[in-house]
Amino acid sequence: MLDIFIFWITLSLNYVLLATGLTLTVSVMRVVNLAHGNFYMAGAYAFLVFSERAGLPYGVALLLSILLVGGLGMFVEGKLYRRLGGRIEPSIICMSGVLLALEGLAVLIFGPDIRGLRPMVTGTVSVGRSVISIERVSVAIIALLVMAALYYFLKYSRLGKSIRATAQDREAASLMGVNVNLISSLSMGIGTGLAVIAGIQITAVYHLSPFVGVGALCTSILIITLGGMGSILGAFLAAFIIGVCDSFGASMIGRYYHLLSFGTVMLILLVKPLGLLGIPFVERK
Amino acid sequence: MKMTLTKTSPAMKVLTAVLILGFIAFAHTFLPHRWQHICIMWAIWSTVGMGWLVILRVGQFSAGQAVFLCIGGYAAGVLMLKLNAPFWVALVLSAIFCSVVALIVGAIILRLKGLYFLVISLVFSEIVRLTIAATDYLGASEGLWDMPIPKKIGPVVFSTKQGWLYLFVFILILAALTFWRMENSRTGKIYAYIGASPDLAQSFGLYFMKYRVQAYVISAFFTGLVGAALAVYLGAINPEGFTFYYSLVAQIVAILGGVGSIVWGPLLGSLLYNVFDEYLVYIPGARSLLMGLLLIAVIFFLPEGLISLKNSFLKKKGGNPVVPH
Repeated sequence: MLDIFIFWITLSLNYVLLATGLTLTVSVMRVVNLAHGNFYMAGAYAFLVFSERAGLPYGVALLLSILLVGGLGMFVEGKLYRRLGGRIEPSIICMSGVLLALEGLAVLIFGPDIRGLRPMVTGTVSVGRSVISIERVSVAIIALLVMAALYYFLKYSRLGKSIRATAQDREAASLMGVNVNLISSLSMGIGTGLAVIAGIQITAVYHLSPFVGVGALCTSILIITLGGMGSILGAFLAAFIIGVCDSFGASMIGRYYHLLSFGTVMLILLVKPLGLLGIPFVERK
Repeated sequence: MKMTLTKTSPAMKVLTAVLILGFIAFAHTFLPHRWQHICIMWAIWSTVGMGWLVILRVGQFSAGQAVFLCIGGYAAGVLMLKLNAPFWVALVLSAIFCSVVALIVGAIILRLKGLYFLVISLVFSEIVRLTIAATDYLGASEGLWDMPIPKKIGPVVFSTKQGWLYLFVFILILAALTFWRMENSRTGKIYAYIGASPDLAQSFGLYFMKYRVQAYVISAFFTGLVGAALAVYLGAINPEGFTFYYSLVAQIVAILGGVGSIVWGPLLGSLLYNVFDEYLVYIPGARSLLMGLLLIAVIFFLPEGLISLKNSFLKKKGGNPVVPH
């Protein structure tokens, strides 16, 4: 039981990173960033290259992949998305294009096979009757640290405040002297970076293939829909709920566990159509 | 003579009929098997693209059209393999089953506004796929195979590609006529109003949910029909064939061709897509990469799709009015 409990915590904390990343990009884009899951996948492959092909230490490889894929996210936001002027349909289509291009690139370079990712530490500890993998605990700790740093950054730093202000009302923030274009790029970079961290850690626990992106996208969509689009605290709560479905659910009801998380989200949406902590969505003029 | 060639004139109808017959005769006689396969896939994806476009007309951006192909295909598989139903019965029943699913699901999820509908239709499609992949009765991840070859009707034999070509082109014509009639009638205008602003339409006494569900069910009917026929044509079906990529293809064919025209857009886009698809399928990943780049390029350089090239060739800027969406 303890090992499933730790698995739940590990998974949920990484889901929080993934969903918070999507929340940040949604707050900039005003449309769901369909390519989010594929940035997650791209991050994991970048890590694979840096860590296994180039043989860099774990921390350096992690940082380099965040910079590389985060930069890619900023490029997509600045060079592609922004030129569409916030129109909804073209933005969605453009992001589907990015999604397909990333997936195709990954298949071309790395092949369609499933592979594993090197964990930071290996080994197990037995506590009572359960065997706990140190890898999962370390993954949880990293996720917790990243989240704490992110919380501090968004809550107290000047840039973090600007990000929140821009997410709330772009025009008003611009009138208050916030450089909204810079902030948009930054939010996109941070959002993508969070997806990369989650990608490296979750695929180390599960597996990595060029097609894991859509699954991750679905999970993060379920989480932000459940938590309420645009709410980071909501994403936090919802990630733990979806985490229960995917960890305890998977070990108890077996193969149909996907239905559990979907059913839970649908049930809660029936009662609270805007999600747990959702605020009415402000459309950009 | 130029006046008689308007969209609905008898001359145009005759011309269209002659073109279609000519195409079929040409495809039957001269094309090699590989190109006949491309023609079949062209008919299939054109129909699916039209189905996607009709949902866009009522203001919803569907990201889960593959789910109807999937449900249609599996329904046909179950009917033919487990219940020994004849092909034609299975074909019609699968399409009806698909519409019923769309009716129930649509009545719930079409209420969601733009973004929420997009994401929930995506998640719904993945959930159905994963559930099928976990169900032993439906062959789990191996899928269903050994579909029987349908009996011939008259001169149409289904052991060759020609027979299938007739069937799929027939379905395509059926779908194209339906969508064409819908677009150029009162319904089409109502759809355009609802797509532009559901709340405004409702304030004029058009209950938008009725029309949204209507569009969704019709789209599901044709997509399911094609899905069922496709499953039998390929002879096998498995959950990997209905991933998110195939939902994207539905929108790719419509967008490449142009969303302004419900019939010609998907027809053009699907032709382009399938030619690329047939030649790139042996290089894993090249297809996705190219389609992704093409989608981005079209959005930036040709927002009205390939169909808008016609206007620039004819030096007729802003010729056909584009239905607002």
